[in-house]
Amino acid sequence: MSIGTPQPEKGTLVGAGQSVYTPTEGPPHHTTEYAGVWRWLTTVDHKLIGIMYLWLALFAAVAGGAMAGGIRAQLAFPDGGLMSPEVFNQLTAMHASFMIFFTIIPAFAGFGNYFVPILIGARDMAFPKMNAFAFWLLIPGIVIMLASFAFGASQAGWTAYPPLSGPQYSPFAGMDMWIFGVHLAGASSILGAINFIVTMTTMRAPGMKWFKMPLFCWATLVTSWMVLVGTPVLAGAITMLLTDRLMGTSFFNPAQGGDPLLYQHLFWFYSHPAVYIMILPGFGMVSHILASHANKRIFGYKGMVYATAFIAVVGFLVWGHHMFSAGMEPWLRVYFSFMSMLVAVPTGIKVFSWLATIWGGSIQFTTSMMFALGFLGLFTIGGISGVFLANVPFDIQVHDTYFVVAHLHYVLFGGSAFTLLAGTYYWFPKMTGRYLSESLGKTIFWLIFIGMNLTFMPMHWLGIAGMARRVYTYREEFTALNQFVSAGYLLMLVGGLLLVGNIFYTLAAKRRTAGPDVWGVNQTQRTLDWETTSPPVPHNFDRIPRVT
Amino acid sequence: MNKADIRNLILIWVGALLLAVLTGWGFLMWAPAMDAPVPVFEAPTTHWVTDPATSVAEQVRRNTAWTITVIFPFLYGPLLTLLYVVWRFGKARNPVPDSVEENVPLEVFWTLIPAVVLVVMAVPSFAVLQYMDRVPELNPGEQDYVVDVTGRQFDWLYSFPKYGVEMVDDGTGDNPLVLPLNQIVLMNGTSSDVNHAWWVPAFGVKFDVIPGRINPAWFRPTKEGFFKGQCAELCGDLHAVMFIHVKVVPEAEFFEWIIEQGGEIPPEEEEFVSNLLGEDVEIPVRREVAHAAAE
Repeated sequence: MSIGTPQPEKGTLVGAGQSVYTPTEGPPHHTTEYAGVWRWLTTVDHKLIGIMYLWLALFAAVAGGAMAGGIRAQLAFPDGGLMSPEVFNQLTAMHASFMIFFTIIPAFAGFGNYFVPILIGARDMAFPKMNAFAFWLLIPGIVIMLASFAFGASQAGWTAYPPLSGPQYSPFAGMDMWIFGVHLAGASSILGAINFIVTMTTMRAPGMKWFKMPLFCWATLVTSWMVLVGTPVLAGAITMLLTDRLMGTSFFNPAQGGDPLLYQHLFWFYSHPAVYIMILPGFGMVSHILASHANKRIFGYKGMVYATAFIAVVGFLVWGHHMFSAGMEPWLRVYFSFMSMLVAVPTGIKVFSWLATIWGGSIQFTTSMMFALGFLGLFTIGGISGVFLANVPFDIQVHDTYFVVAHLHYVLFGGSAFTLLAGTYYWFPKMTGRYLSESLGKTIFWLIFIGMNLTFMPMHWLGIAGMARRVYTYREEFTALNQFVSAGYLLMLVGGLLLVGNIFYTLAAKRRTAGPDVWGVNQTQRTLDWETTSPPVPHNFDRIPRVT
Repeated sequence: MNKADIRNLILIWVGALLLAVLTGWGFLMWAPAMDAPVPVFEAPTTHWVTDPATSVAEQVRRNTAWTITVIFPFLYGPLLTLLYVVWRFGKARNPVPDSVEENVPLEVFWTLIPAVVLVVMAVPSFAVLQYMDRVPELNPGEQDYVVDVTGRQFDWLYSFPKYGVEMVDDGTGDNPLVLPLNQIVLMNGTSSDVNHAWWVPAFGVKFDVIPGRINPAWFRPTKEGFFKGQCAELCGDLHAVMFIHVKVVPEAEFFEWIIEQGGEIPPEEEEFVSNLLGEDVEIPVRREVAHAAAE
């Protein structure tokens, strides 16, 4: 596929940031069998840890997806009557918590762990033991979250606003367990972020200047800084909530001079940047996929890097747009509105640069590329509805309606999840040496793509027509659209189960057929992930590559 | 890339602009204008999009149409371009890729244009926001009506402090809040337990009610009718059925309702109310206040 491709000039900025390297030499490559339970439990190898992150994310996605199934079953009819309002509220709260804290964030941490050291030409992360510790923190986290169902799981939404989440209105232990679960996930993120920052700052291969670093690394670096700045604030907020609940403090109790609105400010100071934490690494991934499968190099590499950094900075200055109806000074609403609209500029740069990347390309339509192209379309829709939500008069009407649910799923499912699926198909052969089925993959893509739009597109109309979110029953005139939504869920369910089945089936196969350059793209791409064996040897490269 | 591709790209974006204008216009058409007739007391599904019932909602509706018009080119443009790329630049149709990696003027262009468009969108949006935030001056001979609303798990407590009326909308619709037509209503919202939000879609009004705080809002109902809304902030198990019912009636009927609810009219308003209701209706006047004022 690289016939006719112009060769990169030595020493110039090319591809996803990578340049010409000295090929690895040394003893013949040999693949490593990652076998034995003890090996997995005690490993500090970034690749094994990365794979464990991905397994955890897959498990949480199945659990969170099942909860979504419960929600859609209840809402298939105006008076579903399948479950009590309490159980319904538990499902909405836990679906979001699983998907955010245990699926999307760990999945990107998994790909980051596996590929950041390889892409910068390092042998491992800077702090391998801390890396393992960060992963193992997630296990008690998800166990506590799951176990909380036995003690009355949180019914306060993933936002857990007090007073509803406070001691008086959520007097069950499940709420405390939710806080502990989020704490563990947060601590894991912070440790991971420190590790990524140090790794990329100190361990880049010789010759790899900052602006030769591939975009996935840049995205992970910027994301790590956001985690480092934002997550401690969330930890503080939920710790204050915890002491309110267990120790009689009254940070958020108005009867004793506390303020429920304070929690909202602290929560969104983290949780708005969190939406970029959940999408920026995906931006990095699709940059690799779109460029390589179009047989081109990324358009406007430096612009992409600056746009990523700009999104991160502005991301910390817009949290108030989640609170336009919560009561704030008029001028403050103008400020938050304007800053939120401003995010559209760097995001637009990214979308245009991706389009310019594939424009004039010679596109290879693999499953991975189809998910990446699907991402580009769906994320554009989510971005546009985001601009609408930044517009205060409109936002006030649709705030806390299904319009918001539609928007957030277009960016988190059409955005983040599609990049993860694209990344899975892209890097699975590299990680395992085995290809996932392409023909089945295309079926899975169409099931998920059509199901996704059937599920989340009608939610826009539902929200504008006045269906509030987090409701277990609704007015009869919303029935038809809700049944489209539930039918779409079934399509995605079939697609998701086929994918899980395909992963297990492929892993059971004995034959490893993938060579180093899995997709035959490295003539153009020049990134180091395609320079080592599939799967890579434990030390990644027999000789540390020299980038020129 | 050749000249035909460039021409098609320009056509795509011109098409996106036209489509956006059509969509904005369609939004306004789908939503009938403010003075369209609405069946009185039989329109529980009126909404800010289809049938705004206050001047605030009408402003929001027009602003939304404008936002669609200026923003949707950036929806249709990328999507149509994407479809074109998929059709045109597949490996089969375009076996040899170009090697374009940057084009600084183009990058500056697509940074600046969205920024300008955002300003074009933001300025009218801020004007509407200011309209929502600023209570208009009263016309001569007009008065405003203050309603204190308190959200509770899971009903709404309303009070008209001036008339000493307190009533509860329990969510069944049997006892709706009654408001005067074409008069300025000032609402002060708070909560006695957890966060709720007062939301009537047809009014274009939504404000969180939070314990320990008072959030204000104003609107001027411009249509007679029966309007439904609901709590818009998760507040517990019965959040989904914490409904709001509002009946908008002419000012005279409003005062009849106030008197029926056991309300008393302050003496300075006695003449005004008596003019509204007619000479032969006896008006309960708050005597103690009159006495205290005389001293």
